[in-house]
Amino acid sequence: MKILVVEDEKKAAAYLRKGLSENGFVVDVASQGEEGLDLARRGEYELVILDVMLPGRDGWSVLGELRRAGCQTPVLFLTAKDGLEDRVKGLNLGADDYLVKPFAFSELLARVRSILRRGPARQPETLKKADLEIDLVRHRAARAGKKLDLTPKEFALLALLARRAGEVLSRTAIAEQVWDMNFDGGTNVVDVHVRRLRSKVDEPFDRKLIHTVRGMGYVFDDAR
Amino acid sequence: MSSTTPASRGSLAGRLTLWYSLSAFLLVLASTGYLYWALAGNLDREDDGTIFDQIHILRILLRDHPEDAAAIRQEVEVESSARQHARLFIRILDPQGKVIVETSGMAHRLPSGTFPEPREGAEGIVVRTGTESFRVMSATAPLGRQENARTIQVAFDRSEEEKLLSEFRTRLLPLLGVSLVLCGVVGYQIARRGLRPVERISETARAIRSTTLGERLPAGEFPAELGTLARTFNEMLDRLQESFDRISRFSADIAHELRTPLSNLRGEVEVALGKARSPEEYRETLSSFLEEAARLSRLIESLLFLARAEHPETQIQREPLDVAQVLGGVREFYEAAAGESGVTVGVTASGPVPAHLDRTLLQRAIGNLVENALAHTGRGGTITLGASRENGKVNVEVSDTGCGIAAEHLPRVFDRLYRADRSRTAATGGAGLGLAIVKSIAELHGGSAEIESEPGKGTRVRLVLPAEMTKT
Repeated sequence: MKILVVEDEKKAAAYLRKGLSENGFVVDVASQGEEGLDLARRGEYELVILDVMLPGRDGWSVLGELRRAGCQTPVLFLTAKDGLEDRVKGLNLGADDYLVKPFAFSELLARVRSILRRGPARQPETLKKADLEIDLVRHRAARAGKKLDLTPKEFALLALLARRAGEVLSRTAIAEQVWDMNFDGGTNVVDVHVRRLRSKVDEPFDRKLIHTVRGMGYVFDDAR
Repeated sequence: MSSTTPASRGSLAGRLTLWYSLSAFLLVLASTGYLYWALAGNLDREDDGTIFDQIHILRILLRDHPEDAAAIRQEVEVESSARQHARLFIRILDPQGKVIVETSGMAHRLPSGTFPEPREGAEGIVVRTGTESFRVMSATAPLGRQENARTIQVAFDRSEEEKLLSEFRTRLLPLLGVSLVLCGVVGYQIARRGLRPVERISETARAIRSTTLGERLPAGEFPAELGTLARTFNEMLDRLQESFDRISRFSADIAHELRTPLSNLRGEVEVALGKARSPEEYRETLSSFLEEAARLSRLIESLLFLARAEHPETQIQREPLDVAQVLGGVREFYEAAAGESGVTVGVTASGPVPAHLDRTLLQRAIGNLVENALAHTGRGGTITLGASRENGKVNVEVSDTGCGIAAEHLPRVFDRLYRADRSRTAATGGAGLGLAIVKSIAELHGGSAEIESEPGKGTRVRLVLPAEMTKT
């Protein structure tokens, strides 16, 4: 899958290229709006990651021009301003999602995957990862054939991690998805919940499924 | 004189000048007019007095010597010749209108037809003949029988009085002219003088810069009305200075808050790069780096949140919700962490508390309060979340049985970056923005936040929010 990154800041462009490449994407980088627009128009990209503040032609203008030209490539825009107007403006211009700097790379990755998944993907009714079975309809989970005794929130947390297996989920993202808490207090609240879940899901077993990625969050990984 | 808005400045002084000089001039005009009128009246009364006297004498004469024409003539002659200029003219007529006797030269100057009909108690009237002017009066002298009655006509030459009055007028006119000019000049001076304190206030205002915010107007030196203005102005300066001080203190605090994690980042990386290390050690350093970066991000996000909240155009997304349910959600989120610290979290709303509020902001405010409470409540303590609705307002309360806050810190705990106990709270990772955010969330809803605390007993924070959108 090819992604175009339009970003003038060298360091940012470099880590985006590196991070996305290492996660299996083919990345091209444009450092100017005009150049980005030319590349994006060719239509060979699955996604464009567009910085708003660009020298010459800015991100808004690139996005507007792209949509006017009839190019429907999904666009994720990056902005340093998190004013509501900015988001609304971007989404009105036809952007698919936005991220406010500074953002966690894991968050960017999650958004990228989510945009690329959009469309035909259907929620499966059950998830099977290693010896863990999750019944998303009946809200039941079992490991090695043994039913896990989970609270509803613990189940939601496990389902979230398993569904996004391999993706590092930040504490903020977890709090948002499971508890609908849309702020980052910076405390260890999510850690405690994960610890409790682990005591039920992982502790009785040799093979650990939920892993801590220090400084980033948690990941469900059945390959480790 | 002043470069700014000369039009409005000029109009006030001009208006004052106009009114001052106009009223002063009208006073001068009125008093001189009155003096003139009084003088003229006095002269007339004096003339009338002279005429009355003469009539009186003639009546006595006619009564005592009704047939003695010679005596009467003598009296008339004597009277007119006694003065250098004949000023008094006398004529006596018989009932048929025939002249019995008259002052010489009177016939052609004042024919008897110019006199009014005799009337008792009447004042003299003025008769003008050519250049001369006379005050004339007629009277009857009854001599027993009706057919013997005589008519007395007396005229008094008014030329002296006319001269006096005209002299008075010619002197008054230039005087009035001069006083008109003087009133204008004095009025302008008064206006200028009266407006000088205002000018001083505006000069002071103009001179005020951020570095001279400490300057004040000497309110006591101004007249009472302007003293109020000066005091109001000083109060405004007080408020400005206070918020200015707050902002500069805040900027210094921000710099400090940013410097600490940055210096950690830098130090750790420098040490790590100092020599070759194992991948584990690098991973450790990078992870720690990431944690510090996350802390910085959170700090900046919070600062931006506060800055945005202060912007008057910031809108909140109200939606219908049940506050008790939101409290339940927050409790569910924090319950596990509280349980690990041996703290119980309870919700005491008796039923649904419906309101139109911004769900995300409300969660954030309650979350911040619970986090604070958790940080300050020891094992075995309790945190209670409560909500109630009365008089269109929603009260949201978070109370704990923690260590409490000393009274001297209470007035400032809602200030940004203010920490009652630096060492303690810094260890829990808070930057001292939590309560400031709570307060600004309350204010975004048009409500307020209050705190009460007793050291050793616990703390209670109450948000009072209008339940519905209120027009501001």
